[in-house]
Amino acid sequence: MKRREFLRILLLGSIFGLFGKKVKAGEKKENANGLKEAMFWRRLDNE
Amino acid sequence: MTKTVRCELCPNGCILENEQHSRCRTRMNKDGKLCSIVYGKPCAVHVDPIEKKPFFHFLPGTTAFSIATAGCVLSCKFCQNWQISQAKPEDTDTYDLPPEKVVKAAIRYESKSITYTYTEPTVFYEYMYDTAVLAKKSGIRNTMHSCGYINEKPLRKLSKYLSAADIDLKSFTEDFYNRICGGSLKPVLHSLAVLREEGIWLEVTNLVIPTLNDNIKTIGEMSRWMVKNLGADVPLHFSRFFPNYKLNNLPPTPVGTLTDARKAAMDAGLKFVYIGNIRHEAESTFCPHCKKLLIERIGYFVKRDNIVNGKCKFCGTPIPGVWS
Repeated sequence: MKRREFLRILLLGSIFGLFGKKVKAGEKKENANGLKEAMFWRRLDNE
Repeated sequence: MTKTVRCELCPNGCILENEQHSRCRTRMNKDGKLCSIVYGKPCAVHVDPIEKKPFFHFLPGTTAFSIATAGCVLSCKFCQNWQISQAKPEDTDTYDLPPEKVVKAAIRYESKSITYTYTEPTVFYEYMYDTAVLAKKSGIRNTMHSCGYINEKPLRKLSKYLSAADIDLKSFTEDFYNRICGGSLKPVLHSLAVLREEGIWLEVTNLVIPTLNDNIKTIGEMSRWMVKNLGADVPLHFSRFFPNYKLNNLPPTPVGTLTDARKAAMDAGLKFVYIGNIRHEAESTFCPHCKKLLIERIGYFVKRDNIVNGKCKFCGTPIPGVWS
């Protein structure tokens, strides 16, 4: 990897942090929507 | 009818009443159904050099599109990413990035791989799995940096889509895992063996912490276990500790401890032993046969690469890894 390429990666690495659109913690309506059924679990009905 | 559920993803085996959250904070019982609350909502997204993971024998000099959500299955007192690993997902700022967007972004940023990292990827298993399936279809490799604290069934299912894994082997004693990490060593050793059996390219990282896990005799035992159970070709990274989180009272790892650990591991038979988190010649790869410098690294920067078609350019010895 050339030095120029390495610097490009460092720049790319910060792009998301600078320009990515984030949902602020305080603005979240957690658990109201966006839940995804998990894999690998079971009900304990019969125990 | 009871709404109690049991999570079978990791050895913690959380039993959850309705509305209760798992220990990793990313799963909850919603009306008798276990749900992930972090799917498609990473709190960290970066394009990193693959060497940062660290992977030293996997597509060197390429970039890894790296994602993480909040949460962890363990609670290590030395965690370097505790601000997100020990946070509740609802307390972190997140991106809206479903699996298809992750793959598209990885392609746009010319990353050869997607790495599930920073926190513990097991906690966002469904998100990681769906992304990995899509990525593989698009010709992008999947890798993870994990503590290996996951049950065998989910690990084997994920392995079908994984190209490489870097597993933190935090110590070789149950006492350390119990007291410092809130977990257990045995499941981690089992995960390492499973990954090896599944043919996943494997690298192991050991953070050396003064007074807690820096016993050279124990490090020798760990290395011998690796040679016997994983093979002498698996790279081992000794990483330097810096005071952090709940272990601010300890000093950084002395360089001498790291070089002693490296010597013990090489004496045990491991061929590729590295030192990280510090500038040192042991960041580079040397041919185990002719001893010449193969990959010269300065931090995450690859300065020189003398591996041609997976072999040492000087003596032709095959060098284990994924090179193309």
